Amino acid sequence: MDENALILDASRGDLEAFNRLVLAYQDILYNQAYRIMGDKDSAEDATQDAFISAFRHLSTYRGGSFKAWLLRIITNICYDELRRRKRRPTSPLEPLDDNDEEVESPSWLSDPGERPEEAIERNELSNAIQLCLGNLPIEFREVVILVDIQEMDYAEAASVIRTPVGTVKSRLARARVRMRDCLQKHRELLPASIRLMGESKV
Amino acid sequence: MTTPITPRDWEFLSAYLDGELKDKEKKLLEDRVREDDKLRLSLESLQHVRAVLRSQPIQRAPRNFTLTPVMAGMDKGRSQAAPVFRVMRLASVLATIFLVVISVGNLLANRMQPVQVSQTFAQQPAFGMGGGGGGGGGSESEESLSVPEALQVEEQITSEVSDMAADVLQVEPLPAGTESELKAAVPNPTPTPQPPVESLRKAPEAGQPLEAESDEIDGAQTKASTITFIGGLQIILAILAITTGVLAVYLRQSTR
Repeated sequence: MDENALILDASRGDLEAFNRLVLAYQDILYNQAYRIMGDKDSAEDATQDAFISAFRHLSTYRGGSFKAWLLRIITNICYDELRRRKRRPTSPLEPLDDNDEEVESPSWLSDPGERPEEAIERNELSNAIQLCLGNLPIEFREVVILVDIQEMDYAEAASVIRTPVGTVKSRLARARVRMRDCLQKHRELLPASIRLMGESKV
Repeated sequence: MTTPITPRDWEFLSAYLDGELKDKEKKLLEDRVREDDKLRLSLESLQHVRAVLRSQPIQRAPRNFTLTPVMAGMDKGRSQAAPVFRVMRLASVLATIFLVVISVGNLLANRMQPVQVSQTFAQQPAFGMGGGGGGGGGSESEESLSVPEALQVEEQITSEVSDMAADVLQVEPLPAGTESELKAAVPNPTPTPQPPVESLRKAPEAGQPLEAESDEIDGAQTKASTITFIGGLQIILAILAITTGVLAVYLRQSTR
């Protein structure tokens, strides 16, 4: 069954049809939430809330990219949560060990199928990227996540954040420059391959 | 040749990497990059950042986020009972409000009524009987009349008027012997028909005071019917308030 038919059935209250859409998009939404929020638990909560909200407001979907519509919902949910946290800060981004110190390579980022050195390198890079993403202003962060991590084109990204394509273009350029500067500041977190490449060319 | 990199240049470099430049812009930038080392290094640095970001594996969802009927707000019993519960709750509240308003209004009216009645009594000429009126309720002063009292007064009026009518219609006694002859001639004398009470009430002998009493009786009857209506309404509203309230509570409990 194609996506439009599933959306139509879901909008008529067919929960099974909607759940098939959930299975198709849950990785994308979770990934978006994880990159914006920076931690797994918040990303899970945001993803679940996004799908609940999407089902309840399916009547407001007016065609176009369903993926973009879902990403807009989860991005807004993440914003709301970040704003709430800003008003009432609670927990640090990194998990804490027994001595209340941040764990640099948390075990929840690891993939059990990897070799240890690969896992370490990937985790270091992932940490560095997540750290730098977290330092970006939210409007830059969302654009860089949509274009460079979700690999959307400018028009799609513009439809998600409801801004002109020109705004996406300028925000993305500034976000990439900031990411570059940030990654250079945290060179020790980068894997050797990236570090050497940066030294020779940047 | 080396020129400072402007924000506009960064935008062009970034868009160039994503293939978002027009052909003309693309060609112009490529020409500049070939000539400008700084611009070329900037392009390469952005290219690395972009590559690093895109090399990141997608974070897989740790579990399925499929919705249950409860999460989707599709619990059938609850969703069906919700509107009924709201209607019952509203009906109970409205019935209670009306009941309170009517009861309070009735109470206030009863408190004001005795004053008016006593004033009416003071203005009336004595006719050997009390005036009509007297609101319902039972909180009247000594001078006011309750409904049973008003009805008693009406009966009294009726009997007195009947006596008066009998006096008016009474004939002179016949001489001795005439009566026996008449009895013989008429073995089954028919009793003199009594005039209807209503016509007697309007008889000229009753005069003006009788008309006033009639008005008061009518007023008492009207008030009595009003009291009955209000009482009935209060009972209906009380039943409605209690029934709908109990139903609302039951629905709320059963859908939890």
